Amino acid sequence: MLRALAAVVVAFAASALVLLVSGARPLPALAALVAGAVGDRFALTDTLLKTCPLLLTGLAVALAFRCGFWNIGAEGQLLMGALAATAVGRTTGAATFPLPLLAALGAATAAGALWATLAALLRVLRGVNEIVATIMLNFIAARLVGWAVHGPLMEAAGRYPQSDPVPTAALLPMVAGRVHLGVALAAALAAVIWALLFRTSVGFRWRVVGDNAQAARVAGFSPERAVLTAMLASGALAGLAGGIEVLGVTGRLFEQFSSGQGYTAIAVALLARLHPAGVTLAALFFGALAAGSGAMQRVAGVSAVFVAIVQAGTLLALLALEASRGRTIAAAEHP
Amino acid sequence: MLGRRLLLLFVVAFALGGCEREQRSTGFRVALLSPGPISDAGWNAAAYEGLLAVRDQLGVEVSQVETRTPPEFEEAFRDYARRGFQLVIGHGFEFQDAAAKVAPDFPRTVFLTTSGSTVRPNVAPLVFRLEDATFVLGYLAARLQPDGKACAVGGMDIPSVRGTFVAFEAGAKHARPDYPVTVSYIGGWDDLGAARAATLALIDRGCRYVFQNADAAGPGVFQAARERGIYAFGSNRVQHEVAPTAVLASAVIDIPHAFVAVARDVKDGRFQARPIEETMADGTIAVVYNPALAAVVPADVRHDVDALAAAVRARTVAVPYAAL
Amino acid sequence: MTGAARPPRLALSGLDKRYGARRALAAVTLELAAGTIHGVLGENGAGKSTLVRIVAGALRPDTGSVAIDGTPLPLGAPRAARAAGVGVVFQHFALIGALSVAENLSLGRPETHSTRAWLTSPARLAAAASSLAERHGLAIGDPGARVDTLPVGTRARLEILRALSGPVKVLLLDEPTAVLTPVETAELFTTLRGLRDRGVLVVLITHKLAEALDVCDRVSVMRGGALVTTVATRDLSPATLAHLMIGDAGAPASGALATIAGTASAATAPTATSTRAAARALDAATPTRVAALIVHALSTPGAPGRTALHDVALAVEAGEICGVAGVDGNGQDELVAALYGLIPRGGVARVAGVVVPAGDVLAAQRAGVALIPGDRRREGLAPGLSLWENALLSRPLLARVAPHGVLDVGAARRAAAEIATRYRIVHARLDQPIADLSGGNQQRVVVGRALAALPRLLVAVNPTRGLDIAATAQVQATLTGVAGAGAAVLLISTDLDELRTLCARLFVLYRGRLHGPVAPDDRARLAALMAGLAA
Repeated sequence: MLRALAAVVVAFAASALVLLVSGARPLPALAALVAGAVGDRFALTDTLLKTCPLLLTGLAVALAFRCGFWNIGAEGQLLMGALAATAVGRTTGAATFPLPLLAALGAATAAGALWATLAALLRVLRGVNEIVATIMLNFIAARLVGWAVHGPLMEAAGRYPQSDPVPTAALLPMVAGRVHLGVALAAALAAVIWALLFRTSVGFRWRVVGDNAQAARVAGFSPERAVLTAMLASGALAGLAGGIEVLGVTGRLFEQFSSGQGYTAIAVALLARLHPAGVTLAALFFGALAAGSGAMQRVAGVSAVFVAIVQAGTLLALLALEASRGRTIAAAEHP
Repeated sequence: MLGRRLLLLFVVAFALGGCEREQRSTGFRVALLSPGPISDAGWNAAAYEGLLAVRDQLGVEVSQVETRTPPEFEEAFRDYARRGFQLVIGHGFEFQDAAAKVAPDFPRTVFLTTSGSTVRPNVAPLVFRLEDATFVLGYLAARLQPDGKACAVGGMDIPSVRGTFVAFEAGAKHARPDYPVTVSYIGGWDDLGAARAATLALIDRGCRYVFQNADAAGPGVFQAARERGIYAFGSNRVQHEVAPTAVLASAVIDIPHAFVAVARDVKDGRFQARPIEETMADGTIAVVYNPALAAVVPADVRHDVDALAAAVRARTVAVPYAAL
Repeated sequence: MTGAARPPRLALSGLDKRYGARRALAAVTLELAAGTIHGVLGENGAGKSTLVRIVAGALRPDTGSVAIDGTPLPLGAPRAARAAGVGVVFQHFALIGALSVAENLSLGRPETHSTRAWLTSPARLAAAASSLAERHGLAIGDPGARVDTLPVGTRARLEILRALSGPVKVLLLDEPTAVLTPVETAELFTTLRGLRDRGVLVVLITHKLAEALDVCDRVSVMRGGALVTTVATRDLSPATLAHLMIGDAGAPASGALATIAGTASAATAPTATSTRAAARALDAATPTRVAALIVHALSTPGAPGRTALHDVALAVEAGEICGVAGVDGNGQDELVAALYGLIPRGGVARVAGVVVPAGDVLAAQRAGVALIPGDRRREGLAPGLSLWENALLSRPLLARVAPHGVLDVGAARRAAAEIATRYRIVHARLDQPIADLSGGNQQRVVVGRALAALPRLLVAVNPTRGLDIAATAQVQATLTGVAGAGAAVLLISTDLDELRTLCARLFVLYRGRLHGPVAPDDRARLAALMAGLAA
């Protein structure tokens, strides 16, 4: 508990220092950050909307890491999901709700899973390092989105590198205000992933393979199959994140669609120690930080650069305290 | 455990959030959404100067935020509007959709986009016809080296940027009908390395005068020009301060003048939602030479260029304008 | 040192080291002269490596002292040992593959710790490496070459050069030939003889009899942490040496084992009694003799770091504990992996009449094969998972508690608790990470798990290695009980006492070929087969 307070105090003190350097008044700026994250209904909505993709990609990363597969590719899988959701949502939008929505979400899931499976196959069949493979696939996905919004998916007016809006029949219904159904779906999926990891034999195998692949092999579990299935699920989650972002928030695809959620997801998953419950909290925290930092710019006039530094500094403070704890444990285990 | 720690953080945050009272000022307030860093010495820096001019000349409160994606545009528009800002400026063509989407919910706020064509009761575009100036720059390039090639490097391929390139090429062809102009886009506004690489590639293919319209990535173009000893043209703002040895001239917008005019109208309740166009004839758009490199332009060329600029102002020469 | 009698180069006196209840070294006293090559022989777990680590300063003995040229060595201080002239070549090379030869040689050299170290350059390192190699007459080739591109023999020379980079008086080599080809081994021995001739004391730890006889002037034999004898090699025949190594069946250690095992099983009676006599009695009591395992013409491909198996034939009857003896690295790992479907193989294996396809763990498990792996950390446990999860770390067991893929946690924990109770696994909670358990309790999990699958054939690899006496007794009693219950047990062990205690028949693996069967009492033949002296 003391340590928790210390983490908050250190993070805020460091942020205050950064803000002082930037020439802003630290207290009003931090107050704006907090108010922008949780201060009122508008802020909470922002926080939830920003949490949703982080939660899904965070779960995707945590699941893959649990299976010992360093999936750095949530970003690319998210983009492929967004691309597929837009394409399918646009083409099936004339049908009655909720068919187009289900088709678009299904397409997003499948596209993400496919993208992740490519990396998994490269490792299982060819021994390609998955970190390299997933990063490269991220680049390819970003270029594919760029190509799509300049080419086949470009808006009819042809003015801006973005798609036309996805028809309403394919959009996620709103639950409250701007909060869409995808937020609830993501929260439910956190529980599903927990059950999958800890209450099914598939999840058991994933965890064993991630912990000790050779022991898994001896136990009769194929590490190759585990990696393939885990990446299928991981990619599906990340792809769904992209699909939900299109169908619930942006309503269309555009160039530079992701602001790096797939990478932030890695921090989310690691901070959560790869546990779905922790991922939920960590994603909320990052979502709140993102929402609050926007408000810090708008209300307190802190420049975007310093907002980014405050964000990164807060994360570092948390991770450092986590790491020091981890080291103490490691030292106790291996004297 | 971490979970508990985060939970605590939320509790603290909610507690602080509860203490926070929104300060609703009754005075006139203006906000700017910039698509990139206001330190880009170009498009965004010029807008920020405009915002500060509004603050200083009208004595009003201002705020600025950097936004990158459509969801961020919408979030920022919405937040400023609900906090009672009377004028919110989305600085660029790409802000139109978000403005149109948010505007109906906040009828007492004016949403201005600097470029575009979307008009609603409280949404209007402020279009800078930078084409006037880039037309003149294209002509200048073709006159300086009639047997050479010119090129242009853009951020993203959007109408407001493409339009400046079309006019640049038209200006060059005004000097010599078959003058070749090559255009390249880097797909973003921040990547100096990509801008430099694209420019070097164009130079290798024979480009001798390069015009940039890539915002924060623009200095990458200047760097490549400096490395290979060719001249570059700046955009939106006087850019020979950025690269004194490479930038020959800039196509400049007097954004402060335009912003102050619009803000005054809104403040005085005289604002009417309609496309506002600022051109060279209004004096808002101009070509500004780098005095340090004045010797590069021979007197006769300078004379012809000035004559062409006068013709553009007088509208005796047709400059192609982008359809927005 | 100007005394009348020159002190020995290396003097060990009364070295004792305990790990819990296990005595790794028992009052070892030994004096070795400069300018000799001295062999230290013994089975696995005899205490050889412990001895090396103590002299190297990597480990502190409980009691006793080490002196070099009469000067006592501070104990448990690697740098002091190095400064006193102790050089060590460890069993697993400690070279860094991504660095060059010269860079590897510079690591740990005294100059590296001086203030000038940061002023170094590749050229200087290369020059230093070359001069070092020249001084010792060891060819290292290009000092700029990356170590991971070099053949193993060159790496062995590098490792030795590294040990020699200081003023070395005593050079300890722990199983240096394990990874070398015969040609490379011969080269190494030439090097060692050269060092001896220059007055260095070379201590060679090995379990290869032929090598010891070939290169050593004298050998000491260790068993169970104690020094059995020290003799000059010219007085020795291979058979005598093998006898010395293997010792007598009635050695005190195994006697104690039998007693404890007896009480243990009497207390909880999970299994039958454990002595060889009891096992044999059970054998005799089993009326029908069914071949639980028949292996015919089994072979595996050779690969770097792997021993190829050639034409292995073996039959194990139900109710029998059949032992496979042999010095480590003669194909034990490959035999196990081939039988259990972990590596491809040729030949036929039948378990209870069913042909087990090659390279398919699941098929082997379905045929009724269970494995107690030799390296439980690497192959038997998922250290990050809990006790109960590790207790189910086997496909057939998991299937039982996860019908339709949904894990019934209640049933799973009950199954794990049953194993924990039955095998007396000392634990705080079932949710405890397995890594928190002691080695003995971890091994109980591995054993209990293998038996929970009710195997027709249990393959156990060194199942008591590293365990204390109580755990050893329990595991051995369990194996006997399994066989008594009608399963076949294939016990692959480097501990001859264990094999002789438990098995009715023994086979010997030597260089990938299986020899035997041998009666456990036929010590001479066993020793000869293990030393590769008879076919």
